[in-house]
Amino acid sequence: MRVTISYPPKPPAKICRHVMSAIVLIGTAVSTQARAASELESLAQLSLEELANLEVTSVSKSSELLRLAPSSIYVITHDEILRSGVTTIPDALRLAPNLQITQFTSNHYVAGARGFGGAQEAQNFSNKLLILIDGRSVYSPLYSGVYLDVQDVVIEDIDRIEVISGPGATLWGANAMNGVINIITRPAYLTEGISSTVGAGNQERHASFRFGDKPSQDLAYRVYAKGFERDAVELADGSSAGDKWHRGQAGFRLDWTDTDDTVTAQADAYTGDIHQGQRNNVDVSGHNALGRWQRRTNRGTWQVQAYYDQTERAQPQDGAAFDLQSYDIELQHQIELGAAHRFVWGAGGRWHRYEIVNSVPLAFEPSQRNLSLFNIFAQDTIALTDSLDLTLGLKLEDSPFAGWEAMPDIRLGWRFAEEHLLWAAASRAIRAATPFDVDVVERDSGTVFLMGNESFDAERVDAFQIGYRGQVMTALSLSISAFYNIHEDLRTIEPTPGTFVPLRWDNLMEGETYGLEAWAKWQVTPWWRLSPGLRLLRKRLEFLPGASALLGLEQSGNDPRSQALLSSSMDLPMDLTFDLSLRYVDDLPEPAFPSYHELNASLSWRALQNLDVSISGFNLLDSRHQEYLPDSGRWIRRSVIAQARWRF
Amino acid sequence: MHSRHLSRPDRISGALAAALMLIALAITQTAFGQERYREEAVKAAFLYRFAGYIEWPPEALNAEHFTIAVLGSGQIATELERLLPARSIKDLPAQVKRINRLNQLEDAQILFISSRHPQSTASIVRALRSKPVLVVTDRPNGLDEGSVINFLSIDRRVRFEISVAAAQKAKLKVGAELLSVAARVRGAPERADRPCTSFENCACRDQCLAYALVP
Repeated sequence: MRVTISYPPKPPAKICRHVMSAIVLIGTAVSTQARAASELESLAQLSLEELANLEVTSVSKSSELLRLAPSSIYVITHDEILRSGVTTIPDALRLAPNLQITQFTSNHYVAGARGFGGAQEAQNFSNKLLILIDGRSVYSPLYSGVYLDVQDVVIEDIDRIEVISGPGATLWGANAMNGVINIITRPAYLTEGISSTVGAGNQERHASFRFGDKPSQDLAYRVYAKGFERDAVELADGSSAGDKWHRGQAGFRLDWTDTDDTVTAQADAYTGDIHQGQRNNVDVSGHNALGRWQRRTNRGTWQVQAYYDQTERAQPQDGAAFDLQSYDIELQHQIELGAAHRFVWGAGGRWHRYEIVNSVPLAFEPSQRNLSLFNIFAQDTIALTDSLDLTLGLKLEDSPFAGWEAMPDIRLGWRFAEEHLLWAAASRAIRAATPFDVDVVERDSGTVFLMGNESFDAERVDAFQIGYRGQVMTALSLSISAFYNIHEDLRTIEPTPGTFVPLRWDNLMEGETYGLEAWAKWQVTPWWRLSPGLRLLRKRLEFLPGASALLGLEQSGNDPRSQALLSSSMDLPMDLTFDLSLRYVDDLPEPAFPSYHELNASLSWRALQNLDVSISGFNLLDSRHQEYLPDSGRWIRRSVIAQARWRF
Repeated sequence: MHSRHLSRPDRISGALAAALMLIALAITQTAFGQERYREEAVKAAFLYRFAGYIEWPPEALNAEHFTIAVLGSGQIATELERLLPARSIKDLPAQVKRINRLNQLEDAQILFISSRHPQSTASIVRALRSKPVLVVTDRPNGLDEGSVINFLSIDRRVRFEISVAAAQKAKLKVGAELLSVAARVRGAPERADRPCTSFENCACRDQCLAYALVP
């Protein structure tokens, strides 16, 4: 008995009413009410099976996070990702209004939140944002920052990407300073069957294949493989920037559940070749494996997670390379104590072992080390009243160069009315010192011109935030948050008195940053959603007495003061969806670089029950545009890609 | 960099064209009418239909109304308020009741915990102490936290998962058809015992094939 339901037949009267409402005014209260009533009437007649086969529009999935920790959080949903037609993780991250994504070259992207997006000229990287894929940190402990070019998953297996701006150090530890990005893939029992995607465009080609199965009621798994290649972008004169890249990856995920236990095991392996124009090419490869066991008992939920991650990058031309291995284990226990306390505590350890093959210009001394980190944390969410929650948290972390650091966090959430949350938070977070801050030795024609500083301290922030999130009207949800950050011990570069070189890292900058993040989701009509977003940022930094002020305050990052995003998402007749995303990035202050606008668009058609085809265009407004200064930024061409996804 | 500025008129005309396209699409779309249902309305319809496939112990139905209580309110409660009046469930007049605390539950047969409700499902389920209430949630770890039915969003559709163990704890019997439509069943009886009603349901595909081959 095969049941294939598209939509229940519509009585002609309904169509008439829609035409009428178009003539009068879209979305007047009266017609909306009437439509809702008739919609419910027809839904109530359907069988379970028919209900389960209806396609729906949802106003906003982020509402379910209202009950989570009061913070500035944006959730990029599975649907948003698929509809946008993006093919890489950094491009997907552009969908979050509280992130700053800059594309430098064909393969080099930088993600930042609340400023400090890095200044390439000063060898300062975007190092205050933590990224995790299914609970595995992909933040590099070597240089602090994330190699976005090797982070990948099967795009249609992403369940959601949670983007938290502001500190998340109590739960995620050091480097979750200005934000945390959690990329979460779907459990295997939601990815049954075969799914294959191929895409080809004027600048990239990709293909992925996934097979999922559920051998028993409790056990499901999937295996996948994907390949991706993208062409080089351009230099100012129109010639190739020589930065093409390709990558291949394969892996699996297995989920097992019974009444009280949930076990997940997953692993990935990848290899790729990344060209960097005049600079050396990089061969990248790595693999990782993760296991997680959750057990629910009468005394709360216990979770143990462990992972192994190996990653290496090598430049065949000059032999420079590194190989990094990480082992991580953590334990968490969540328990409710009485009606008023939700308590979670945990402890974890992480070990890194790395080996660096130094090159003449860039060396680490020592070139190999074992690093270890330990942490313990506890967080209690106390229901002070029915509508007022107080969250107190503290993480103590022993990191390799800084020793024990305390990262406290206090938050208040007040649901002052149904579906309206006001929240405030005060937190301390750090960006831990890395071998790049401590061990680095850079030489120029035999002379040492930059050295690490073994007394380099962690960079610190005390962050104060206030925010509102709620459903302003049935069709309109809104999130606004303002932050005020006090930064201490920001990294500077200091000359040696008398001889000038070698330069050394130090912590001689401090100051404050403040800003605003706001976004809304407005369901204009049941088939059309508009989502505006805005970020504002101001930085007031200064050097401490004794600082040389070499490279200026701009070495902390050349961040735009504002950024705006406007997305439109339409469900059209005949199983078409049409999405537009317009972004504006203000000029970069120092060194100055002009502002830009760009537009992405994607049209997708469900051609058959199991076949989706789409055509997507990126950066459509200009034949080419640039997002960063010409010394490291390249000209990115307008791109168009056609994709087909087939499932059975 | 200069060419960026030279191309400004192009960009403006591009934006204009996009705006025109949007308006054109909006008009077309309005004329064609809406084809997709609202998620909340579909969930409300599910909540109304679930009862037909669940067996409560007789004392639980010894009431004046069949009550769906909604903890934490939200749009689904509003949809239920539109849907339930003048309908009956299990031969009782159906009603929806918005509640803020569990002690307002009284003799409700279904408890829907809105995704906006701050309290954890685990503590609510514990406080129910095996009372015969069908707990339905709409959050990623709903079943882990002890609910009987949890809504999922799969491929733009509203689906649901069921914990048979949680149902047994609440002294509820789950009908076979509900199990067969569920996207996922946890703690299910042995496969051989499960009747098969749907070919689409992957959980019993092998069995269905057998039915198809041996008429």
